[in-house]
Amino acid sequence: MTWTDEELVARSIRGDSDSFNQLILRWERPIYALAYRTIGREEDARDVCQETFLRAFRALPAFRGQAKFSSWLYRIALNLCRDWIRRERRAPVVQFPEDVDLSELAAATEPAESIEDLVARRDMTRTVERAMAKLPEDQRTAIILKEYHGLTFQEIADLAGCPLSTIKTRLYHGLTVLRRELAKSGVLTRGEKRPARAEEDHESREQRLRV
Amino acid sequence: VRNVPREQKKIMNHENNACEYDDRRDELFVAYLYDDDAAGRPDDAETGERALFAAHLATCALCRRELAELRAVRRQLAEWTPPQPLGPLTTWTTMSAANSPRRVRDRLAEIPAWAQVAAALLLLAVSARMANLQVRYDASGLSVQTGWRVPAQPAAILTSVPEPAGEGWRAELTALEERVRAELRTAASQPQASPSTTAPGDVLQRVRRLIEESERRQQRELALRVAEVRNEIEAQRQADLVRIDRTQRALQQETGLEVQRNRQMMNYIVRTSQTSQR
Repeated sequence: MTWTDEELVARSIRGDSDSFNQLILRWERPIYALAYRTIGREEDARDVCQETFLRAFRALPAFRGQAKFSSWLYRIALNLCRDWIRRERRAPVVQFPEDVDLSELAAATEPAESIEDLVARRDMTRTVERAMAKLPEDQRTAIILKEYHGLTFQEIADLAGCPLSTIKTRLYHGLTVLRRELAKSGVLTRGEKRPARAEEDHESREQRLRV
Repeated sequence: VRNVPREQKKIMNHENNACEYDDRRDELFVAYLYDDDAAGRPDDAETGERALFAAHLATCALCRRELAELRAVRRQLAEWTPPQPLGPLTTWTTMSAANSPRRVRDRLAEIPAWAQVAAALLLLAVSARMANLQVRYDASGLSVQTGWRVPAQPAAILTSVPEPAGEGWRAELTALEERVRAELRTAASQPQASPSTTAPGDVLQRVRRLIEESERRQQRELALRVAEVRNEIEAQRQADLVRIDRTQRALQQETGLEVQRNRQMMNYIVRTSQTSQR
């Protein structure tokens, strides 16, 4: 029988550690992915993932279920990522230690995939990571939560503690920066690339509105 | 510029070849972009405005183009996958589970009976000492007295136990002690059955699997590196070709200029010589 998150949380609060283990198995990958995409370092993402569940376990009796369990976990993980970024005093750096990257890429992919595809995919991943690293933290977080975790605008707004409209604006600006960065890297094809004149116009429009 | 009247903004946008939708254009744009992918399930309650924005899209080429571009960005974003973690992510899972009451019971069940009896006896002895336990075994039967206060003459009470009657419980305790010792000896003489008997085959298989896995990974890693080097060489070759082409064009240009200069000089000389002949 598959329990819902809420049921597993209730059982965990009553002392059933197996239920909490099930919650971990269900959510550790998404939390790790969130942490990795936010801070860009695998080892630190692992630490954040572990610390997230440790904190969640300790704080479980205080969880009243006002938000979804997943949103609660995301909040803990994002706070930890924010702490990490501040502690490191720098923007998230996407690091690709060659050895780790290649072996893990090889281990993570299906044997059917050709080497050329693997290399192309890795290049694409690098390009996207570099572009994402250019974004301010709030825009990056909004895009990660929307694109990779499928949260609604309202859920992201609740997590970030800001109005719905702010989240949409962050998403829009973030995607616009990404479009520019990806176009610079030559990832977007010629047909997908916005003409320089129009892009410049749009940015100047944004600047004017911000004044 | 927030306070600039809408009409003025429209004029500014028009002059800058930008979309003339109102201030909420970016928000509606994003809502449309994401709702579009949600197969008709609106992300928020802006369905009316969504319809309005859809109507605007039909007339605004700029917004349509931008929508296509941002969809392309989203397709590229979908390519970004974090590296697959090797092994479990939360190593404390088992620790926390092991601390739970159920697991403690499970682990107790794994302790041999003799050890449990020994532990119980030890606990009993310590408790008896702490609680000033007094046991009498006489003709009237077994009587137990306890109390936290030290009795006035404990030694006298203990010595007052008749010696012959004490033989019974002493004998029982001795028998119990012998039984525990016997079980201890049996347990110590038994070989560590489960791991050692099954280990060699299992370990060998596991080691073989690990080696095979490692070899596969190394081969794949090598292939990846080769492909990467090949790509780098190709990129370098392209860059070199571009550089050569550029240099060649510059040289041609210089040569052309030189030729032109020589021709002009020749023309000048010819004209001068003809003038002098006249």
